[in-house]
Parts: sequence; structure tokens; C-alpha cells
Amino acid sequence: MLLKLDFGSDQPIYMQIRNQIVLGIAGGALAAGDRLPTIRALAEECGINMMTASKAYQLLRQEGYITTDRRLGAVVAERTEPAGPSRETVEGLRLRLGELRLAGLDVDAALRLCRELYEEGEG
Amino acid sequence: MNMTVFVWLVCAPVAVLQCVINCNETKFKKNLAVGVTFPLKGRADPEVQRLLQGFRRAQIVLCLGMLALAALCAVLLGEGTMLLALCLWVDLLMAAQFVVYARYNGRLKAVKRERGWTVPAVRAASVSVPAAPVKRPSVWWFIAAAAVAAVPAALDRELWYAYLLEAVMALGCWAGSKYLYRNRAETVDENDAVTAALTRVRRRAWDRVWVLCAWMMAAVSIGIWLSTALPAGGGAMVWLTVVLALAVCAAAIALELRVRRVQEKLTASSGEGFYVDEDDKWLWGQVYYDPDDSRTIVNARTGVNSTVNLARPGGKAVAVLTLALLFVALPLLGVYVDMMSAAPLPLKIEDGALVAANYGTRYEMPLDEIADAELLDALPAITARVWGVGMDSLLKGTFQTQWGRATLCLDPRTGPWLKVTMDDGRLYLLGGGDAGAESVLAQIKQ
Repeated sequence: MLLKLDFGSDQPIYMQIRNQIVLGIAGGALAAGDRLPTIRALAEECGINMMTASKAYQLLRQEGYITTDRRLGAVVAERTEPAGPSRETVEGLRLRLGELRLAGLDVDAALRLCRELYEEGEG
Repeated sequence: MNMTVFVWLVCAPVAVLQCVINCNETKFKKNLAVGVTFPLKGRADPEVQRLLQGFRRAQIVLCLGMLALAALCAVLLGEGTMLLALCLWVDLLMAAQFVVYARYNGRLKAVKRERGWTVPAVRAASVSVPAAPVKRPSVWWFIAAAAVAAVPAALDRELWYAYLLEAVMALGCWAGSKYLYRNRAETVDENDAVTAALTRVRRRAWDRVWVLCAWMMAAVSIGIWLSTALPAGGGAMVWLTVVLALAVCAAAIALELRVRRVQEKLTASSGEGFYVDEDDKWLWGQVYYDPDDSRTIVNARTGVNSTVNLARPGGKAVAVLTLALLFVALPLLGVYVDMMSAAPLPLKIEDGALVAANYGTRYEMPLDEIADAELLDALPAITARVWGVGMDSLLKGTFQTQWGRATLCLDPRTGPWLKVTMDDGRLYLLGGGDAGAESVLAQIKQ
């Protein structure tokens, strides 16, 4: 799986890494048990500060997407019982739907777009 | 063969190697040609093809021009100015090839812009490939090279430190392969299999470079020993040096071209959909400058080499040092050797000691430690240079002669020379030309 980092973007690099790994897991590019690079290797690979790589992994670990092990490094976590979306995710979705409404999409068009993107994410 | 012609014959092929490597830049690999990233459809564009052909032609013209200049220098210049001319010639070759490359890189970038093939700059990094295991060379390759390099230390006690230094350097190659190893993926597009294959090829090539370096150290050590042990060791050393240099160059070029060929094959169908385009970060297609990149050392875009990020302090330091070495120190070295070979070799008696001096070197022989001194009308056969300077007009340092090892500071073209034997058996051969050997000998006898 490839991370594409845009250094001209307003979105912080650690968040770009976090988002792309989450999308990779959701899309099947990363399966449960897959090993990710160590923080040092990820920083070296991306040409970023170790603190930035560490922050991305910390966030992913807190959200339960990965587990970290002193010996194995970072590993994609097994998804157990679906816990449902977090409050932040629902709030984020609410905001995006509002933006779609303002962009002129009616409810059918917005749901169609959501379906397309959801299916795209399933690989 | 004349020494000047010989040196030029050995060095001038650098222009051909440069030409071969640069012409190879016109073959698309990793979506790149002459430092410009193109989509797959761009490779067949007539304007792109025309420029690539022009670049090849320019490289060949440059190579022939530099070879002609080298031939002129070999014929017209004497040994005294040879090193200076050689240094300037190397500098000119590098500067000229840089300018030609930059010029065609700029033109190709303009075509790319016109065709709308410029893609937004993103840095792509594989998260699945870096963990891929690669079989590393066994440490025994390095230990064996170090052992071979150390063997002459047991046979020639006088230069044991030189042989052990080579052995240590062979082990240093192992440390280099272990700790200076660039553990980075070669990402071209979203195809993980291609990224993994490219990365493996590069890592294996680097491992071979380190093993090759270790065995080169062993060969140098054996060469030094042969030069002192064989009766015609001096000639053997020269030829061994030439053969070794040619073998190392051939192995390095073969490895580089092989890696490039594999890169070309593996990425033959890349350039559709997402592909890495870092053209904005490579000034003139050759110099990496990315302030957002925390890395100081980065992979060269094609082949096996590495380069530095000029936006990092470490990268700036390396670049300044390299430029200073090539464009200041190298010509200055030429000037220094030129002045040294032209400097006189006066012999004189000073404060109870015989003094032979030449441009930064001074040999002092206390008169009360001199066992014997005599004039020579002919020099003994000099079979090898152990350390020092060996030129047509100057022999300075430690040499192997038919009378054994001796310290020389003389002009070998005209006598008489002074042979000085010390109480402890050390032998000096001094003077030559108008150094004043006869008058100094008279003073010693008094």
C-alpha cells in the first residue's frame, strides 16, 4: 500500500497518514495482522520527522486500528465487534452532508455519491 | 611508454564512461528520461524522442571533444604540468556534462508542461515494502577479504601498518554494508510487486558494492606487498594498479548498467494512473532540493547511486566539500605537484647535519652518524616506489633499489648523486643536477 503525502495541504501530515491507513484497512489493502513499518522506518520512508510518524501511530492505536508491540512493531488490529461510528465520525459526516447540500445535491444524489464511495472503499 | 601519454591513456576513458552512462539516461526507466518524469503515452511523443536523440548526440560530441583535448594535452604538455592539466580536464568534463544535461532536462520539462503532463507533487511512500526481507551477504566474505589483506603483514614487517590498514578497511566495508545501508523502498507507482522488486534489486546491488570494495582492499594490500617483494615490483605495481582500477571500474559500470536494465524492464509498462513525479524537487534534473524532506541522503533517481538533499544542512556541507575538492583542491594539487617537480634539490651542511630539501620535505642526516659517503655517476636500478613521489624529474621518498630499500631525494636525469650510508645501515641517495653533491661530499670528508 502506498501513502501519498501532500506537503502543500492544510491537513497535517500525521493526519494524512492516519486517514490513508484507515482507508487502506477499510478497502482491504491492509488486512488484520499485517505488519506496518516501525516508526523509524516509516519516518525514513516518508522523509518526515519521527515525532510525526509516532503521532500518526499513536492516533491509530487509540482508535483501535493498530496495535503496537515492542518486538513486532505496528500491526493492523483484528476488528472485533463493530462498535458503530464514533461521535467524531458522525459529526464529520453531518458536516460533509451539509456541504453536499450546499453544493446543490439533493438527498438522492448525496446518497448515490455515498454509495459509490462506500463501494469504492470496499475494493 | 612515455609517462604522460600513459597517464592520459588510463584517465581519458572516463569521458567514454560518462558518455555511456549519460546516453543510458535516454532509455525510460522508472518513467524517467534525462531526469524528467513522463507518463507512458509521453514516451513515444515525437518531440520527446527528438530531444532524447539530440541529448545522445550532444553526449557523443562532448565525449569526442574531451578525448581530442586529452590527446592534445598528452602530446603537447610535459610531465611537470600533466597533473594540473589532468585535474582541469576532469573539472571541465564534469562541468560540461552538467550543463548539457541541465539544458536538455529544461527542454524536456518544457515539452512536458506544454502537453499538460505535469501532475500534482505528492510524496509517495510504501508502507508494505520496507519490511520485506532481503538476504544479506555473509560476514565471512568480509572476514576472508580482511584476512587476505592482512597476510602480507606477516611477510613484510616493515610495512605491516599499511597491510593492516587495508584489512581494517575491508572490515569497514562490512560495517558500511550493515550500518550505512539505505533501507528505503524504490516507489514508482501503486504496484507493490514492482516496488518490492526494484527495492530488492537496489539492496542487492549495494551489498555487492560493499563486498567488491572489501576485496579491492585485499587486492591493494597484495599489490603493495608484490611491489616490494618482486624484483621488478615497481612495474608490477603500476600494472597491478591499472588492472585493478580498470577491473573495479568495469565491475562498477556493469553493476550500474545491470541495475538500470532491470529498472527499465520492471517499469516498462508503468506511467498510467498514479505514478511518482518528483521533477519539481530535482533542480536541473540532477540536484535534489526538498525542504519538506527530513532525509539528508536520498536514492539517486535511477541506477544504484545515492545523493544528498541540498535543503538539509548535512547535504549542503557535503555539496560544498565535494565542490571544493573538485574545483579548488584538485587544481591546487596540480599546481603543488607542478611546483614541487620544478623546485631545486639543494644539498647543504647545516648545524652539523647534511640536509636535503625539496618543497615541503626535508631530510636531515647528522654528520656524526654518517658511516660512509660517496659520489655516484650512475644510479642503481630502482625497482619499486614504496612511498613518495616518482616523476621523470624527481624521485622523493622510500624506494626499493638493487642495493635494498633507500630514501631518495634526487633528480634522476643528471648526476652526480650522493650516496650516504648511515651507522644504522639506512641508505640515502641524494642530489643530481646542480645540487652541489661534489662540494657537499668534500665538506663531509673534512
